Formats: sequence, C-alpha cells, structure tokens
Amino acid sequence: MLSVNHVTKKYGKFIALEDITLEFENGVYGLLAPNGAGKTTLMKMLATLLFPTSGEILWDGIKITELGEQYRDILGYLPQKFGYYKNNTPRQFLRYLAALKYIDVKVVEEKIEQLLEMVSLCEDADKKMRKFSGGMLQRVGIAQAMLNDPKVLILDEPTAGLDPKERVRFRNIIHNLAKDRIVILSTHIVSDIETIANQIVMLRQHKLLCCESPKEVCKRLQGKVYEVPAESENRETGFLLSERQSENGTVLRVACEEPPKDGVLVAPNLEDVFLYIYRDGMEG
Amino acid sequence: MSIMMPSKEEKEQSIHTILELGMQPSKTLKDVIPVLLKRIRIYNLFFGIWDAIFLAFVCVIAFTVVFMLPEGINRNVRYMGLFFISPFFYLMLHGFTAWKELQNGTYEIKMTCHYTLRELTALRMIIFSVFCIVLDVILSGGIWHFTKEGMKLFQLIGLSLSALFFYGTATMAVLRKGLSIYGQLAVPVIWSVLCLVPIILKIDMEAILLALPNVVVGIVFVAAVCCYLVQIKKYLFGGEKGGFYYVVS
Repeated sequence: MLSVNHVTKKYGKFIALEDITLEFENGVYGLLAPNGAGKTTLMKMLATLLFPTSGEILWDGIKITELGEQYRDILGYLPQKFGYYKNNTPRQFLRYLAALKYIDVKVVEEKIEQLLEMVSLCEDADKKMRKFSGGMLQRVGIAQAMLNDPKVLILDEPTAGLDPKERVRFRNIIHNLAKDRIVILSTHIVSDIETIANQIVMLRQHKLLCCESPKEVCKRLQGKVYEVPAESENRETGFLLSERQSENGTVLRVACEEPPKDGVLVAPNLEDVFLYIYRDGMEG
Repeated sequence: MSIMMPSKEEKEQSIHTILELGMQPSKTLKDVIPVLLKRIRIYNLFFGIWDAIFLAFVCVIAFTVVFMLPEGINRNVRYMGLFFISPFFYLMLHGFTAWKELQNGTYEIKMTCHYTLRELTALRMIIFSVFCIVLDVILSGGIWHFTKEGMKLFQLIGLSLSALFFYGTATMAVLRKGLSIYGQLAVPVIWSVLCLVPIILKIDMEAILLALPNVVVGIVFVAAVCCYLVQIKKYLFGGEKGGFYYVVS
C-alpha cells in the first residue's frame, strides 16, 4: 500500500501542496484538478523526482526515499512530456530502458514483445519514433512504464494531445492494467477518468478536497443540478455548468440550491462537479 | 531480589550483533564501478547521445586546428591551449550530453529507473575523463614535438592531466551541490579566464613551469586524481536530493 502522510511541498515561499494525506490500494485513482493545482508536483513526489518539504510517502510502511532502488523497481512512470530518442525504434528504446531498470536479460526480449503487443505497436516496433503520432508515442510511454511490471503505475496527463479514438484505446489499456496494481492517473479532462477510475482524488487551492468514488463525488451536487430552457426567464439563476442542444432548442445545465422556474432536476455527473468545484475564484 | 546480569560473552555477542547489523560495509568506487559498467554496459551508457559526443570531438578538433597547430603560434599560447583543451573537451562532452537529455526530455524516466541518471552521469564522467586522457597524451606529445627545447614530455602530460582532473573535480563538486545553470557555468568561465590571463599579461609560463621539479608535478597530478575520485564518489553515493538537481547536472 502506498501512503501519503501529511505531505507539504514548498518552492521557496510558494506552497504547491499543503498537508496532503492519502492512501492508495490496487485500482485506478484519477487525480483531478485544474492546471496549477499541484497535480504534477504530487505525481513527481510519488515518482521520487521531488521530495516533500514535510511529511512522508510510505510504501508498505517504509519511506520511499529509504527504499531507493527497491521502490523504483516497483514503479512505472510516464511523465507529462514523454521523452524519447527520435532516431531509435520502440524496440531499441525499450531494450535500453530495460537495461536501466535492471531487468533480467533472459526475459527482456519476450517482455518487450508482450508489451508491444499490448499497446498494439508490433508492426511499428522497428520503425524510427520520429515518424510516430502523439498516440503512438504515448503507447511507447505506457510500454516503457510497464517494463518492470510495476506495482505502482504513475501516469501524468497521459491523454493530453490524443485524438478521441486514441483516448478510448488508452482508457482500455489502463483499465486492463489496473487489475493488480495501483494506477494513479492525473488529468484535467474529466471524461478520461469518469469511466475507469475507482477513486477520484480532487485538489483545490493546493489542498486535498476529497478522495472518493465517482458516485460519491457526484453526490456532492445531488439535487442541485437542473436543466433549464435557454429562453427561460430564470436563465440567470444559479451557476451555469454547460449547455446542450435538445429537440426543443438549447438547454442550459445549471447548479443552484433552489429549483429554478421551468427547471428539471437531473442527475449530476463528474463534469458538473468539476465545473462547480473549480468555478471562478475557486481554482487550484 | 537479584537481577540476572548478562555474562561477558553475552555482552560481547550482543555488541558484535549490533555492529554487524548496524554497520553497512562501505561502498568503494573500485567495487561499485565495475559492477555498474557490467550491468548497464558501455553501449547503453551512451545510448542516444552519440551525436552529442561526435559534436564534442568536432569542437575539440576545430579548437586544436585553429589555436594550437598553426606554425608561428607563440609557445606560451600552445602551453596554455594544452591546459585548456582537455577540460574543454570534458566540458563539451558533459555539456552536449546534458543538453541532449534536456532537449529530449528523457531525464525524468531515467530518474525513476533502477539505475538513475545520477549513476549514468557518474559513469559517463569517468569514461569522458578517459577520452580526455587519451586526447591529452596525444596533444602533449604533439606540443613536445614542436617545442623540443621547451618542457619535457613528462611535465607536459603531468600538468595537463592535473588541469583536467582539477577541472573535473570542480565540475563534479558543482553538480553535487546542485547549483543553478549559472553556478555550473562558473567553472568553465573561471577556467577560461585562468588560461587567458597568462597570455594577455604575457607571463612567461614556460619559465615558471620549467622551474617546477618533477616531484612537484607528480604530487600535483596525484592530488588532482584523488580530488576527482573523491568528488565522483561523493556524487555517486551522495543520495538522491530530488528535483531537477541532478537532471540539469
């Protein structure tokens, strides 16, 4: 189990994260917050790229800094900006990282083949990566993170820049990987985690807001989300979440305490909660 | 009531156990480096950065051709060039490879591997210093050939290698301290100034260096090598400080 105990991270006087306490068990954790809320700082601390100013991060009760390479051996990490060598092929790059991850040379080739198959890159395994699309590169990134069969898989904004088709493919891969490991996924795109995350971790103003299942998160707005016709006199009521086109014209989706005139109560979704929690003045 | 006290044997056994469990065997470069090289392998040490190494070679050859080989170059300039070029080569190798890692953004993944960028950097620095030694010996031989009545080959090699290792020591110390990019640039800037001052002030370095006894040259060389190895060791075993501390390094 991975535990974050009262972790604070400061950069000089700036507090990037304040008193974060979390516990991770097997499953997918979606770290959801707007840009600048501290998602990447938290991810980097979990990946040992940064260390807390105060507090501690423990793996099975031992500080990850003390575990050193033992922790890195069970860690898979895909950074926000996946770095690669353009003139190398995925196979060469994976072989190289396998050496750095100290994976037994006897099993490396077989492992690489399995991973390339998992991310559907077998046909492109020997092509130079300079010609790869963003989605293909992200798949190489996933493969490298999985080389050591990690117990903790950290993916920092893995779907940024992917087209809808690639995003769906990516979600399916993550879903399959999460059966016997901790997958921590940061994003500000709600739809990426709505379907696959077991737990949603939300940060606000550099502090932990919640760590709950998507259902529980949605309960926060239960009975407060209404759909109002755009022509309604009460269109200014409440906080505007989104709008959509219906058979009867444009419909506004609003969050408010009291039911607006002509308003129809609807079930809140994760995007509603996200927009409501991070409305102007309440961002990260 | 009488309390049973441990016997002398029991006390000694306890002390022995505590010492055995509590005192980890000290790591030495001699033990660790061969193991690291065997596991990471030389090919992987320079994976993806061969172009950066090639570029460093080109820069050094260009420097040599322009400033050291032409006939009629002042002997003083040749000597200072020799003391400058080996650290310059070291700087180019280190600078271009670090730049390449930063440009490609590969450093973050490497920092989370079993063998991190810190270990890679330490091993690379050792190999780079071997490249520089080879270059240094060749160039020292060349300079000695051109200026036969000047310094002896032993002195040229001893002093230029000392220059290399002192420069390497300063570079590793700066990396270890995790200074900013400006802090890291301070080392090559100071070194360049030190090499330029005798040329600008027309100080007869040949006379000064010729006056140095061989023993002094030998002692300086050994001291430089020791300082360099100590810094490499501290860097390698210094522990992870996190952040971009050893990324930019």
